[in-house]
Amino acid sequence: MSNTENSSDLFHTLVTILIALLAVAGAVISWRVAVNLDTANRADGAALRAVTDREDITLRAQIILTEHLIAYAAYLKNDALAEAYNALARANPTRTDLADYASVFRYAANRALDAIPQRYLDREERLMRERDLGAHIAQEARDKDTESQPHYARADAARQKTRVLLVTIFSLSFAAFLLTTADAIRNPLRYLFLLSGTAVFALAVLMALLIEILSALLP
Amino acid sequence: MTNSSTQATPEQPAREDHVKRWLGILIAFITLLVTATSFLEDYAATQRVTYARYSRENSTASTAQRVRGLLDTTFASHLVREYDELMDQARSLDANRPLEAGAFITAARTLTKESPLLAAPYTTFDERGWRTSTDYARYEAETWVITATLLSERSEAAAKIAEAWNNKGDNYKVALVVFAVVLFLLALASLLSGCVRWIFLLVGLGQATVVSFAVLLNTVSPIPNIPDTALQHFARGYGYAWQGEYSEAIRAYTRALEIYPNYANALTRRGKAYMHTEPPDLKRAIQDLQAASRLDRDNYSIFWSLGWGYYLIGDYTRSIEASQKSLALNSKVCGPAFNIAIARLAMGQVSDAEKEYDAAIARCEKIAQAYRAAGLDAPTALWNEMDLSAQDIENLLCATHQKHCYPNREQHEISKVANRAAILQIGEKYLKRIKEALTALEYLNTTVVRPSGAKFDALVFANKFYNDADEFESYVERDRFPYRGKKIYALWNYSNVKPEMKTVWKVYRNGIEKPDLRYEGRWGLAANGGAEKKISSWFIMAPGRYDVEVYGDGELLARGTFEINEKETLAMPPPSDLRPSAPVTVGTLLLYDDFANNAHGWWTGNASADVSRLKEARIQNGEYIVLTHKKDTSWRVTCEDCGTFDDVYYEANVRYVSGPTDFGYGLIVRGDSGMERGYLFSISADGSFRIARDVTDTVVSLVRWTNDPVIQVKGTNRLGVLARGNAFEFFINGKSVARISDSALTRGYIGLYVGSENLQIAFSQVRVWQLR
Repeated sequence: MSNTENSSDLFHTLVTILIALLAVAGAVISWRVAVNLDTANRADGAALRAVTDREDITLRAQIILTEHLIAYAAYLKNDALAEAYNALARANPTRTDLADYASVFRYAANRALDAIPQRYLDREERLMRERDLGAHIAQEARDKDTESQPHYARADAARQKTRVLLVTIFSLSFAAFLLTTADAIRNPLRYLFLLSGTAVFALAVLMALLIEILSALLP
Repeated sequence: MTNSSTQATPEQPAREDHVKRWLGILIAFITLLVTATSFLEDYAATQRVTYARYSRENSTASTAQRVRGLLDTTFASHLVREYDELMDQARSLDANRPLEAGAFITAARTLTKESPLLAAPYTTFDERGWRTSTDYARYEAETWVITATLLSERSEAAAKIAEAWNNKGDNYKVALVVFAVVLFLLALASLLSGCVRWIFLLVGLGQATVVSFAVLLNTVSPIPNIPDTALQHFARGYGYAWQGEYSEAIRAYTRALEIYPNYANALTRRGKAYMHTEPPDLKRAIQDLQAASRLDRDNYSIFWSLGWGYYLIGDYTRSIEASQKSLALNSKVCGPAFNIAIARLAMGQVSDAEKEYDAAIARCEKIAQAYRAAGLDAPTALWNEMDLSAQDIENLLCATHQKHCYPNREQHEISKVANRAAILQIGEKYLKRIKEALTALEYLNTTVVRPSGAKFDALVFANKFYNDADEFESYVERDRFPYRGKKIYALWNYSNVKPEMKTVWKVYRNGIEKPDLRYEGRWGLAANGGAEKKISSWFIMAPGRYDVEVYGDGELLARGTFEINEKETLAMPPPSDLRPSAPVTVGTLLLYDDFANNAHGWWTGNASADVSRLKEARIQNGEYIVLTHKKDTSWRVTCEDCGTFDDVYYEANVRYVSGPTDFGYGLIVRGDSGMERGYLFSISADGSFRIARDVTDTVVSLVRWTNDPVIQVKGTNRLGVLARGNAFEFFINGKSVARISDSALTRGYIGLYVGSENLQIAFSQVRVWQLR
């Protein structure tokens, strides 16, 4: 066997080993892609559940608010009548029945107000709708995850990572192409293809490692 | 001995190695394309997820906005009702307790601060504080409809983009599969030899080329993306349409379409808006709907509107085609089936029209029964579809035969209709059939209606006259009512009615049903007799034309029509040159009745205790004909506008029609509202007159029966009474026949009377003048 043949075999062996290593790296990175996609899908699912729970809680709080609004409307009417009759009673002191009517409407107004928890009424006994709604939402949300944005952010981060890993896989397949070409051609350009293929392979692996390390270290 | 020609040459292994090396390069290159395609597929998947998320968020936000808006509108509407309630209470207190009425008005005004709906620009009030109108649609549009619509459109647009990315992703997946096959073919090519290798290689390369181009095309193909400004214009247009402002809606939709010409929703909505403008622009409507149908091929609503648009312009064939497409796309609607039927009817295809109507009714029945079998009730839209199909027949008959005409209805193009006689016959037949099918389906879950054998007379309508003691005195039958808010009753006779019959009453105003006035229940009366039914419930019925229908087990048993005038009085202004027939000096003409109709509200019948009607007074040919069948009694009548007068000159024609000639009939002055008291000026058909007074339920003669040749025996006589203070003068045919002085009664109602059962008298030309 001649030296030329020996160096060809050596070259071929080297390229073959590099392609094999590349295949292994590709498989590992593909596995990481699958893991990240799974993470992204789970995060999406959690976000959807959070959205559904939030809307369920909000709807129930709005139903409670509606009940309070109905009582409040009755209160407004009776309160207005009570005030109007009080004014009449003051202007017509001989009409003692007017004060009685004012009392009747005041009782009705107070009864209507009983249906609304005091903490949702301000000093002038006006219903604080936003507080009523907000308090009920907050109460129900204590035991449930209703924030979808953190989950969406996690899903987006996982997908971003997946995309970058796919770029590394593309780089690996480009390296495989370069190495295969290096193995196929017989002129000195083969060494250039070998070098560039190896460089691309190394960069791709480094990029993948960097992404994994950074995603593990950073929140 | 070997065959030396089959031995391998030294060049062949070298060529083989060369081919394999290049195949290797090719396989590596295809692998590169595979990873690139995978990257693109992942990108498409990410975009799909992102837009699907955006769509969901906007959909959720739209729902939340809608719910909040509806809650707010509900509360605001509740306050409006409370306001009206307080003002109604104030009005009822105003006469006797003005102080308390003021309190209610003050309370009502306080409520106006609690909701923007009860203030300008949404609500207007008159100078007394009565709410004249509230623009709920504008309030809803401005508080939540536009915003909710925008969010909903964003959601739909994002969903379409997500779907487009999904399709791209699917295409990439297909490409990956093809690339896998290519790799397989190339791998095989590297193992095989001879021309088989080249075949595999060529096929593989061919596929790789094709799929690479496909991937490239898929990558560069644009994703339709409706700009947000177009969505905003659409939402504004929707808000205008919500308020019925179709011209403004069209302008807004047009702006949206200028930004994005293939905006299917905007085309659809603009097309429908063109159908609602005054007059409808059907050509543009059809253009828009056609364009929309090309963009959104699975939207049954577009084809439905398109079918109706074609019908309205007289293109019946296209109408049928579009309506059939609509029916094929949605099995839960039956409206387009009626469009097909009416198109066939307009084309003169009588038997086909009948078949289509029967099929449409059967389809509606199937839909309703399916919902009920699933534990739900049929949607309101189903009843609307059937009701509108009946209105469509009415509109066609109005256009072709001027029957069933109502204001503000669609105009049907009739220049291309054929066989008008058949249209009338079949139209009337199916108008009744659809109404009966609708009622029976709603209440009995079937469209099959079997005659029950019950017979109802045509309905007549009346107010009730109550005297000052709030006792019922008489019906006041009319076909036109003044706008006074009085209750209106339907009166009719009936026979052969089964007690378990389910009756449904429907009231239509200007051709549109008033659902608040619908009544249904089991027949609770006897099998035969007469009945009354309050039509107006507790509402004050607004002016307009009213049609009333009564159904028994789905069968249309009777109907009737009346009108409510816009004015509080129906009386025409009297001529200024009318003079009394007697030589008296008079002032202003206070009352003038030529009995063209029952404008003044004369009594038409005092039903007996079991409310069976005895027709006792009617207006006919300019006369008011009075007759009583009640034994041993006279009947004194008055009218709603007949009181109360003090010093007047009152005259009327009295014509003997039939009955006893020795009993009196004539005029009443200074009567009470129940006609129990008053001064009676009567003549008899045999030529005598009498003047009497009834104050204490005893008729006392002030002038006994006196024969006078001025009286036309069994003829027409003009009677007149001049009442000034306690002095009275009586005239017959312009001649003074008596004077009396009496101070028992100083003011009251004018009236008429007949003094015996079966005595029929016609009164006419009633006049009342103020005295100078």
